Amino acid sequence: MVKYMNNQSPKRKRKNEDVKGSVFTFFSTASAVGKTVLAVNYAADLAERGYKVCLADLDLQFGDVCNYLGIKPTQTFFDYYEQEENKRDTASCMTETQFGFEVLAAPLEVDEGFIIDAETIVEAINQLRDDYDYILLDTTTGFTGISMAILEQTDVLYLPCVVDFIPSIKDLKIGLDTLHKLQFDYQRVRLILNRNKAETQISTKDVEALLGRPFQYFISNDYQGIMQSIKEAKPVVLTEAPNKLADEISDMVSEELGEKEETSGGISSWFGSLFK
Amino acid sequence: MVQKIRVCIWDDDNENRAGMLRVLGNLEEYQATEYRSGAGGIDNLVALRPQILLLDVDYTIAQPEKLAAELRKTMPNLKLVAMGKRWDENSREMYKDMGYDALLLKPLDVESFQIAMQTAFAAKVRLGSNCEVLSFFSPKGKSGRTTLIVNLALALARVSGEKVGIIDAETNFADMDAFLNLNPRSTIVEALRDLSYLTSGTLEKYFEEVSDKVFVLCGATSPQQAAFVEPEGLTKLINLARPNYRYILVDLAPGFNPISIAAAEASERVYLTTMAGGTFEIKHLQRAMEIFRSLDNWQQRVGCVITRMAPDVRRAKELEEQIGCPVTLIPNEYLLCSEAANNGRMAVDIGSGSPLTQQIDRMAFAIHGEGR
Repeated sequence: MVKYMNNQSPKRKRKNEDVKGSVFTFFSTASAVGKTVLAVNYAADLAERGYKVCLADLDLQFGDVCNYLGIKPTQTFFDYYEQEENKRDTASCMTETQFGFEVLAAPLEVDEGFIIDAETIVEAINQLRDDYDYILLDTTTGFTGISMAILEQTDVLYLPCVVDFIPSIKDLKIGLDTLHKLQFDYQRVRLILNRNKAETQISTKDVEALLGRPFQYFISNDYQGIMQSIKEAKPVVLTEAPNKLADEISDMVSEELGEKEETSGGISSWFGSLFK
Repeated sequence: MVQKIRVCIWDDDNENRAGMLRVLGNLEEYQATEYRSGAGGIDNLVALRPQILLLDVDYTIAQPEKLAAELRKTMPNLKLVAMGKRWDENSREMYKDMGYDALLLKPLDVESFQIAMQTAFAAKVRLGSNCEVLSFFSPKGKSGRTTLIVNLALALARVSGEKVGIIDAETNFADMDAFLNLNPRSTIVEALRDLSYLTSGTLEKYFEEVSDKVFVLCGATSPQQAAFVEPEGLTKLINLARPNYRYILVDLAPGFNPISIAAAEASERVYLTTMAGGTFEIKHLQRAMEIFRSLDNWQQRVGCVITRMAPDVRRAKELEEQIGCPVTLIPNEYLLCSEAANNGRMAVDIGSGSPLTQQIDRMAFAIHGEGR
């Protein structure tokens, strides 16, 4: 695939302006499980397919989206928050990237992130639904007033985890139970095993048994590839050379968009066509 | 030797005064003196150099508001405690407005006196205890904070020969119980719920024993439970626990939130912790430091611990310059730590001799050396 082919016009139009944009949230019960890496690459992949995409960094105090993309925003979520109530406009606070999607950056100062409230975030998400095909939300770890508000706005919840420590797995189980108690529809949760086959003493099967559900996606452990991507400030899915991690993320996007069967052919496509 | 806090009782009723002196006589951290109206005027009271004045506001003092204003002029650091036969929220507020720090119900008993002292004043007056509270903050999770806290608590207990408490104030996913294979009878949620009935002594029962000198108050068992952990309660809890331990180590959820801010303010030292990951960790520490510079005496109180980084004096100096506070580097012992955490044997398996333990021992020596 020719990379960046769809990125010539950053101010692209939505594919379907009659439908509200979908909100995909990257959330976790433990830190450093790859939320930001997945969100950045997911956004790049969607943009590559011609969709109008916004990636909002809602890790408001220590967000890394701009760090990973090597961009220096002049406007952030704090500027949105500072605008006059009822007249706020997300469009004026977006940062364009060279990868065809736009970023609503986390505040530049920690104290700015501290004061932003859940209501303002919900208001912004609703505006973004009118302007983008897909709104990707990178969040901070754990359940807070803000994350609860974000969950309520979420159409699809990506829940990456890393099977390294038993305490982390306990936290994932508690997180899933909490989502259940919050009556968050399990059908909308996508459980991702990140850093699959990394050095660990815990078996994936045991974790799935404990959680009572299987992982939907497995993302390879490619530490060097990710570090290189961060160093170059370029999403892995846009690298020219064949890359397993990029393919896995791309497959995840395809599956969500329902495009996998259409593009890959083979048994799935044939089987799927029987039910069309 | 620990310096005692000077408490003066001003009650014109001889019997009441004698009773209060007996009560305070049971508390070794206080040195009680007495005063009566007309006994040489305010100058004689000033000569006693009280840090806390317990004042009968029912019969002894006619104009408590005026007296409070006079005393504040003469002794601006004095803690003023009104004592009356009536105690309700309105009366408490009324005396607070008059300039009193607390209102106590008569007759005085040890427990209510201690609670008032610990909860109202402990953050400013050390209450005769030499306890030091160390809070562990991290901008993001996976910083190695819990591993560090458990091992540092064990090291501080070894170095000081005294009891060390751990409070797991992680509000979302508290892991201390899993790290230590504990099945706690009670957690921080129950301790905070019962706080108004607790004394330092009874609070101790909420802590689980990890070793003969290390005790832990486990964190909330679910995010819903964590909603009961509030900043004001946490501050009172920390202060109430002070007399029980030489050191209290507080594990905090990542990022700035009302709980982490309250804990930092109630602590003698705050450690910013992060795990070296080769990305933007130092940048996050620098940004967090901007907030911590607003703490009183931050130069003496704030330090930084970077885990998974081999100790190197030159590198530590460079980082100190970049971050703006002293830096301790803790080496990587991933397999050792993960195996210990997975088996709930963090307090047992990470024995002496590993580079990680040796470095944490050095940190404990430095803390205890400075604290003495």
